[in-house]
Amino acid sequence: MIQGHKITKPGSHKRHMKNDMKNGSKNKKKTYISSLAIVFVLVLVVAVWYGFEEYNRKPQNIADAKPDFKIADTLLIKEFEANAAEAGKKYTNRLLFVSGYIKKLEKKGGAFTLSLGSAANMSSVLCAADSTQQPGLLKEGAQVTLKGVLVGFNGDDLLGFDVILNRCVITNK
Amino acid sequence: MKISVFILAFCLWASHGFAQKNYTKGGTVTFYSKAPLENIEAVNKTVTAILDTHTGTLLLSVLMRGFEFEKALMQEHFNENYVESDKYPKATFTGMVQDNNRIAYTKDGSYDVTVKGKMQFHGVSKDVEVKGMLVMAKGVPQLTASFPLALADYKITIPSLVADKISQTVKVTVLCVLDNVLP
Repeated sequence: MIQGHKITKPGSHKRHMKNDMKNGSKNKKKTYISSLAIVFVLVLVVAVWYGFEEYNRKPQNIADAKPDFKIADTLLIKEFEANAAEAGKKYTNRLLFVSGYIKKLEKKGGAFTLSLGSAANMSSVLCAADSTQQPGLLKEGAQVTLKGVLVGFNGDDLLGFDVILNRCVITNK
Repeated sequence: MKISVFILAFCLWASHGFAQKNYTKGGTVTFYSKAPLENIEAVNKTVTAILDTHTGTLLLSVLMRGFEFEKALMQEHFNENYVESDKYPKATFTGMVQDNNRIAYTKDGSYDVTVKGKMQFHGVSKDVEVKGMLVMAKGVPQLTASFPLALADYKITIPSLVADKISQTVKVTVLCVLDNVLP
């Protein structure tokens, strides 16, 4: 028997190793769970933030947005008169940059609408001005360029055909 | 003989002279829905309205995509999930002003009016009766009305998830100044 030496029972070393491994895997598991929790919380925060932003999202800022199409008023009317369904598919809900002559300027309360097109034709491009806009120096017969979202076409035999643009922003005044 | 032909011609001219169609393409329709979560409001500023003052026939036409909301998501849900604007792009009303003869269209004045007719909206055609006001000012008729519209009447279903947060009835307000005359 040798004194000063701790006698280890055979197999105890293995047990220690096993315990160490057990503790190691426990720690790993803990780290794994905590990182998972962090990811989950992060995803949740991003989802809530995204949901909040999406919920409060304002309509597109027309003044700064790049138009999808640039077209003259009379050409736009012609396209709709030729094939309203096709033109509707192409332009509905798109941002258009339209140039033309003011056929009619209607002021109602604080709002105003502009009818563009040829005076010889009942059909027109009817533009509802954005609430940020003022009629200012606009007048009937003058040339105008504006941007607006095309919302559809409306009309009948009596009043002619109207291609309607919403939230119009005048780009020249 | 000559006199009777003259009287007949005069009567025809007179009846034609008084028959007038006033219209606007810039009328407004707003709807308002009060709900626990949030009030929803939208406005359409390009409503077409024609009134035949001789017969009292009234036509209104409104593009669904023309409604503007404060929030973009609301507008998208309105067009895609509720009124299905691509499938049913417009709502129309065709009706008659009741007791149209009592309205002096040539003088200034205001009248409580009832308009009866058919409303077509979201693929449903429904008989409706709306009370409103007609004001004549300087020869221009101005129509205003406010009425409740039950979404279920027009087969607009609200998803069950938000059913208790969105009102089943919306308040619709119409304002049309018919300051154009058809040639």
